[in-house]
Amino acid sequence: MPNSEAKGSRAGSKLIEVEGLRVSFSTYGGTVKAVRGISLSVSKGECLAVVGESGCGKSVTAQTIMRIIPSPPAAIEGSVRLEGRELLTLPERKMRSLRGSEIGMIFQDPMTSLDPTMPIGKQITEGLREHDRSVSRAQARERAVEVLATVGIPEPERQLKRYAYEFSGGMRQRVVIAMAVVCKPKLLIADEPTTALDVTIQAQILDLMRSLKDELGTAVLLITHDMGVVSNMADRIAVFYAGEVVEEGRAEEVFESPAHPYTAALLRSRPRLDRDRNQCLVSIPGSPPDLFAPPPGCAFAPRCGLALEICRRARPAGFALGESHAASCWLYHAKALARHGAPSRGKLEMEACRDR
Amino acid sequence: MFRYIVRRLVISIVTLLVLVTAVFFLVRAMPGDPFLSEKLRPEIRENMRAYWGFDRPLYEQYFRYLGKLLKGDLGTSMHYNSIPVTKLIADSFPYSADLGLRALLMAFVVGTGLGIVSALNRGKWLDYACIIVAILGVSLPDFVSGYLLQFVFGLKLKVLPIALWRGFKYTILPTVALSFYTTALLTRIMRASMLEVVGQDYIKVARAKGLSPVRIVARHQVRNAILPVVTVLGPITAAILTGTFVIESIYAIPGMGKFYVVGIQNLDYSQILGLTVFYGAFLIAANFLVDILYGLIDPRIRIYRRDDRQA
Amino acid sequence: MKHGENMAGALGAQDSPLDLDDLGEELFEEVPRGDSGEADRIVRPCLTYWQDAWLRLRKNKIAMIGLGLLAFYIIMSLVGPLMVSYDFRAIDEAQMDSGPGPLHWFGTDTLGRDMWARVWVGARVSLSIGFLAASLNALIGVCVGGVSGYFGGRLDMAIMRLIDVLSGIPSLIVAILVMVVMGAGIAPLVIAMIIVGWVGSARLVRGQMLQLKNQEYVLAARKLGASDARIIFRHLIPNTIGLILTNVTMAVPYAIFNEAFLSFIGLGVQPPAASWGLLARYGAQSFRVAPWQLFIPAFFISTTMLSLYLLGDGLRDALDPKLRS
Repeated sequence: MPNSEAKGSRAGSKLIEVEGLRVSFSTYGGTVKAVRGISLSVSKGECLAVVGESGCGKSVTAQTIMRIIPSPPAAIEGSVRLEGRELLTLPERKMRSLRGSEIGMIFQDPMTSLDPTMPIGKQITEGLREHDRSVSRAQARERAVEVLATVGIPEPERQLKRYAYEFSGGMRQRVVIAMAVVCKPKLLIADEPTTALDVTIQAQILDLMRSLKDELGTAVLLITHDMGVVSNMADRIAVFYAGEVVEEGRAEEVFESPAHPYTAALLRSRPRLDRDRNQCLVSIPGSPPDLFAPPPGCAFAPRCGLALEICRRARPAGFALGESHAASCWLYHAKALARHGAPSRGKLEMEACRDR
Repeated sequence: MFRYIVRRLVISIVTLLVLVTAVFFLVRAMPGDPFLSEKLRPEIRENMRAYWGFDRPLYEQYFRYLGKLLKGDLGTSMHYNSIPVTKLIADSFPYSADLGLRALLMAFVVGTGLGIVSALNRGKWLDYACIIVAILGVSLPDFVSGYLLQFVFGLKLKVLPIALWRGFKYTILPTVALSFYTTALLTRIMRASMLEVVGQDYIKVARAKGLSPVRIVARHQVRNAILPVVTVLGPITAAILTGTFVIESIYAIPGMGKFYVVGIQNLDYSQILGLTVFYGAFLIAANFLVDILYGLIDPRIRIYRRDDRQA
Repeated sequence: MKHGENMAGALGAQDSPLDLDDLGEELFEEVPRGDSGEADRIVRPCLTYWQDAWLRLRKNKIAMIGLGLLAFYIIMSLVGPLMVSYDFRAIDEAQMDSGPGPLHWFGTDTLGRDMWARVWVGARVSLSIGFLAASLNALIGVCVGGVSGYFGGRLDMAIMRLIDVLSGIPSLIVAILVMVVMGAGIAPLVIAMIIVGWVGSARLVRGQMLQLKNQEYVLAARKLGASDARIIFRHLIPNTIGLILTNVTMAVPYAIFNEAFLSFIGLGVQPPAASWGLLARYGAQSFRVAPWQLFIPAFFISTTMLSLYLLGDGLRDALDPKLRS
């Protein structure tokens, strides 16, 4: 790992750093390599969006950071540091005191995220009182009312005694968010927070999360498969494919000049208002690789219209395209650039999806 | 909640009425009548039939029976020298109820306890031990476990009395024998339910909140996992109550089961009817209480019921 | 490229089989096009639902033990009585209450009848009552529950109220009364168990139907113009069948248990016929002098129930699509 001193000096501004994370599960059919060497970081008050299709390792990464993977994985390698503290080796008791208080988490489906048999007020306060035993019942209640008001629930005092089933989907997600931010965590991990919601409600929840981020200064790790959600919220974007980061950069860089053919294809497969009204929606041919036996080369090569011979032979290194922008794709190797020139956006978009 | 209770109450009353009606006509449909077996002269037999009102039309007998039932009169036994059936019940039911309640309590405490222990130690030897106990338990009908325990602890080891009901030592074997099957059943249900709940998102959320494992298990997991156990409490009460028939006869306990079997053998109309109505009413009341309990534990039930009413 | 190499470490390419410092020019040729079909190829073999379920079940050793034992009992119930020269009804006063030995493998009963022959003849009765009652219950339950859940509305309301009432009535008590009215025998036993037994499976199937009929694939089928019958038979039943099958497997031991109970209190099969419950009943009366007369049939009742439960557990795991990964 070169330039370790450079990393050390950067650590001050980084809230969370994930380095070389690998997670695999053993199942009936063999070992699934769900996460294959991921590195990413989130600075204080920043929003990093992790984008990728289902099964690309987004949620596993999030749950590994929290150390709440439901089925114990066969192996976890790499490191996860919160303000320089290594989390993967932290004793469970210490880890528990970080969960909820320093890292909050929001899950995809608000319909199942709340305990059906416990009033929501209690679900909000129990986390608070678990982390700080000195908080009295009345204080906890007060704080719950306050946080419910923050997330935009009307008449919060009257809602404390109500149960999850008495709320609509959007309201439930607000309650879930209230639960996650009640201890004012430094990092909020949102795992597809709007996927299960109606489009109009999605916008409201995103607005809420943005204002929470600005007001509380909370850093957000936003996991989604929806490029639309990303454009509203993210400062930086990491594109996941088959358990790897294929492209990373500031949001505008990734949107304006996607470098990896997969990113280009993702952007292309989304309807655009600023284009021809008769545009065809493009899908990416093929399906993601089988993570029981990932291909030896670039995982995207079998679906990529620009693939070179080497793409099938070796996994690409990350190539820097700017101070903050990098893509791991052989097209940016010096020899490829010399032979074929830098791929333009148009070429990437057209060629990545050439079949249609 | 109030509407829910009223609704359940109405259903319970209708059920009881259906039961009484069905049993009344079933008993009358039995081949023969109570006086056939005794060698009586025809005119005496006619007199007896008139005395018991059997010469009246069936529907009239039915309504007279309902009328008496409303006053709490279950008729008199034809066999036991005209003792009122209510007296038979008052004398014998306390034994059955004592045995049944002990078994029910033991099944509930031990069964849910083992289920929780088993699920929390999933895949470890303690889990396998609980599974083996549970699977053996549901495979042993209560007459088998009753005789087996009597044979091993009463006859071979001679550590516990083999029969009768005269104090705590006497209650151990019958209670264990009667609760064995239900304990095992509840262990299975509780274990499955605990494992189902542990995969739910709200448990993940609770972990993400940083709650301690003890708190997650106690406040979220068990509370949600116990719901299916509560729903089977009704049928389980019924199973234990019918099980008392067998266990009482194995351990010579002076409970109600004997009168029921004897009543059937003698075609003693009022005894069969009276005891069945009593059993039925008892179980229906138990089901009613279970429904209320369920409504208290699971807040959703109140609203769901209202929904399917409107639908 | 200095920064780029740094990123190379961060993004992870260490396990490349090639010498990354010296890449040949030929590696940077574009690959021939037009083989994207390759990307869509499914690598793992394609299995039908039942093939997959059978594979999973076969891997489950405990369930296979259950299945094996059950198959053994069924075969023995057919050939067992033929293996000895005694008729199961033949009374031998010289051999009363004699213990298991070379002459009588399972001993004899109080009347000197051969227990081996009686146990396997009894197995025919007990097993067929168990399977018959459980499958008929499931059949009625599927029809009533399916119709109720699928069509909903007033019909569903009426059926649910009926089920509410029926399930409140203690089943064994009704069974006892039915047996008394109809007399002892196999048919009355099965009927007595069906009268109240179908309610449970009807409830189960109805719940399943309510859940399934609003699933997207059912809505899609309906929008494509599929008839009710097609939706029920092609979409809903195949998705419920696993649950129903598991339920039947679990209901058989319950029916065997009920047969044993009713025979035990003297309302089931009558001698000289035999069933396991009946054998246990007469065994119980003389179990202090001849304990094997109780424990042998009890052993068979228990192990049959045991193997059915083990099989049922395995089936549930094998057939539950949620558990596939």
